[in-house]
Amino acid sequence: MFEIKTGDIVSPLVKTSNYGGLPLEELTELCVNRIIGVSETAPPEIREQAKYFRVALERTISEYLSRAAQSERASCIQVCVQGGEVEAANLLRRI
Amino acid sequence: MAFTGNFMPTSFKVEILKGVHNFSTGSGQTFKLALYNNSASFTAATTAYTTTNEVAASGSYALGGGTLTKVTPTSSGTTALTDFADLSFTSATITAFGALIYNDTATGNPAVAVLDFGGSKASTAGTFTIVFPAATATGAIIRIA
Repeated sequence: MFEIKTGDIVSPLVKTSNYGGLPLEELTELCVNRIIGVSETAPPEIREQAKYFRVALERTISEYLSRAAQSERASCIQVCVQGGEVEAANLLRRI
Repeated sequence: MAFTGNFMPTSFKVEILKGVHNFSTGSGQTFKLALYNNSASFTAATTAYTTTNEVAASGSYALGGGTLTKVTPTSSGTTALTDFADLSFTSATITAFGALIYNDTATGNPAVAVLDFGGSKASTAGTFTIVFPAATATGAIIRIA
């Protein structure tokens, strides 16, 4: 007889924000968690290497997410300006 | 009634043996995640998606929930597993206590998993993101060992 078991479902994490999107720091954390996980049972030297890599990854992703947000905002500002919505463009510039 | 934990519906286990569900990214089916208020009472006996007690549409959240981005099933050791990309609803005012993952392609929208958020989760004109656990042999959202 063969028995197949479906593992217990691990609760998902829920992240929420009010009056806007998730902050850059949280997005960076979510992104890094998707890329790298460090097992508690991994040998210490591997764990240290992984942690170092994780920090480097966080810096890089944070930087590029920030640039992506600025780039998107600049595009939105131009759409507003070209559509004659100068007030809206100015509001976006203040973010 | 309220959410009382995470469940893999018994009907889903039967449907796996019947070949009802296909989680492959290319040829697979569409799976959705719908959010519910605290009046929802899902258990292992839950069989399908329902609109009863689903949260109202808001921002990018529409009735029926959001489409999940699948990750093709794989294995880790002797455990088979599949995963979904994190799902976000933007500009949304939502208060939810849990969610139901279901197959939107199969007849009758059969249930795949009941997710209990462990309490009230709310966003006001903001982003509501469901972060799935790491796709490992011990953490992936759907695993068969």
